[in-house]
Amino acid sequence: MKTILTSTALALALAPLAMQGAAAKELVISGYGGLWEQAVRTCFEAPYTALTGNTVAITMGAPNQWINQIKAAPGTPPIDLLMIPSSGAFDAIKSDIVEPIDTARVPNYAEVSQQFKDFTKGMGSVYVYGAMGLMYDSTVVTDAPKTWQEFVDGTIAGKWRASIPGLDYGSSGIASTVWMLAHVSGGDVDNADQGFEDIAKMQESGNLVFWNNANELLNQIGSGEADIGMYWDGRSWAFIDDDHADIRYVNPEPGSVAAMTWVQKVKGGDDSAWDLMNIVLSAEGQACYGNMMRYGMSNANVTYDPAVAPQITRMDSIVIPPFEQIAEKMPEWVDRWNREIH
Amino acid sequence: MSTLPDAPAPRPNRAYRLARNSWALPALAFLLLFFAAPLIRNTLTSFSGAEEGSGQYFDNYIRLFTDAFYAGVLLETLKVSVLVTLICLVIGYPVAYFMVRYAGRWNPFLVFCLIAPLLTSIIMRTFGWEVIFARKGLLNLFLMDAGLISRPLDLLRNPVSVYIGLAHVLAPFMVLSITAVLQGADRRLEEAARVLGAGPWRTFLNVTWPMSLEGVMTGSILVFVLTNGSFLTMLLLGGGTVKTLAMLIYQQFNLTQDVAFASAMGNVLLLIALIGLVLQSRVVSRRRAK
Repeated sequence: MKTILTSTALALALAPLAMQGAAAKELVISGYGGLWEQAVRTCFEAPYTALTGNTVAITMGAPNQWINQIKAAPGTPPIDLLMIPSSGAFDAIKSDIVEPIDTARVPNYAEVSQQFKDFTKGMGSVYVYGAMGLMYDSTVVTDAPKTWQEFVDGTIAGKWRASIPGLDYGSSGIASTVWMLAHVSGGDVDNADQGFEDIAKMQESGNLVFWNNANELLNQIGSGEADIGMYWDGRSWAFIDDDHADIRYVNPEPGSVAAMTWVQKVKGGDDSAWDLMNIVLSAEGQACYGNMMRYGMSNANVTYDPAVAPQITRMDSIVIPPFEQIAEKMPEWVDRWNREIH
Repeated sequence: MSTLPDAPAPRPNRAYRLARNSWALPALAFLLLFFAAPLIRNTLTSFSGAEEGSGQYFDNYIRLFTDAFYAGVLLETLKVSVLVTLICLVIGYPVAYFMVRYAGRWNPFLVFCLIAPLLTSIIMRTFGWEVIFARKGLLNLFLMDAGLISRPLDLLRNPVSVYIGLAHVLAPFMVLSITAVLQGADRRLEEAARVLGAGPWRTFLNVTWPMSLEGVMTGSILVFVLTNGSFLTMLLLGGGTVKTLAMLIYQQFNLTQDVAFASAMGNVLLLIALIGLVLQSRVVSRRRAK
């Protein structure tokens, strides 16, 4: 009898907690682990939970995986909010699984820099960008290239051994190499000959290697395989701050290719995804995230920590490639790269 | 007065069986669901991609075999697989022979040494080679300190490093296959050959080698098929200098989303592996028939 009374009292005491637990939702977002997850939980989830009482669950994987999961469950998507790179974001739009931004629910969208709005056309928003500039060993590269043309010419002349993203790194690598080198010579998506020619010439000089995964350039710099390489700014600064005082980073003129990550509300996903999106696009949330990750943020009013600010690539130093057109050209470019570069 | 116990009832006149055929059904269902069905799907996918009503279902295969570049990649794939198999055979046979004939109580230790690399990640092993082959790597530093070279050699990202990396990963499969067969070989036949006047080489060529051929074939087919599908070593050590079908399949999924073409390439790889298996089984069955 005593046990029954105790159990009943305990159940009554816990009931409000259980009801509260039932009321709180778990919003599912796509994403990654490691430092990315820490930053998202600290900068976005904490204020979101304080506001709504909901928590955030992260589904890890790759863009194609997330899109296929959503397409496989029409009406009941397993993901409410996509945090996804540009190539995946365009696929999501094409697949008709995401909604245009509801500006009434996401007032902070008004503070997003116009160049990103022009890029996303309201089908989601860029929240963070990285720039692919040049990381180099200052003990070897004493006169760092100020322009992309200087980088190409210096490599061909044997001033340094260079490393650029290889074909197997993915679409952002091709945009940063073929398109960018064509772009600085006056070419474009439909005329990328100069990009291919520059890469072929650098390779013929014997002073060019390729990196195909994000850590490979770090190994190449460390082992002397490369003295200078095209690399993401945030990763470069993290490497420099990790006791590599001789390593430097620079964004050559006319700017560095930006890789952007978007936030998109999934059709049929929980409406509180708008609340999280609003926090993700807020100046406070983005300042917190930018300071942790050392990447540029899309909100024009973000104030970075003074120690981090010099490491952030300014918005006027980035170049946004036409990713949609590049995606259409990809089969042709991959085929051409296979035949001409290696 | 004691009586003799009754003789046990005679056993039914049929072969003793531990299991019924129906016991194989779960395994069969598993294979059908997770092996046969995906293969069928993959084959159907390889015929897709043609324009509606065009009837050009073999376009992907025609492109693969008639385009000079893709045909070249196919030949390169076969060349890499054959060369790596030969390297593993040349390295592996003496090791297997030594283990069976001379290692004695050290044999378990040698087997452990052979298997130990297989217990570490292929990525870690490949990065190990990067440390050795890099411009500031161990090998270049040693050669420069010895005064044999004045400038570092470009050992990484070329075919040689790919062959070495693949042989390192796959040689244990060759050694273990040959060891298993050599252990069962009748050594009295070798002794008989020696007694009849055959020298060591002739004994090896006429007696030992034929007896171990089954292991050589098994090891060769294993290494050949594994090399065919090998991807990571070529990507990390080759850096694109060695292009094989496995690399192109990855590109089709990762970059161009041309799943139909990737499926066609996958089917060609599978066909090559099946041809290898058929050849191996024919050689083995002929030898057993003798």
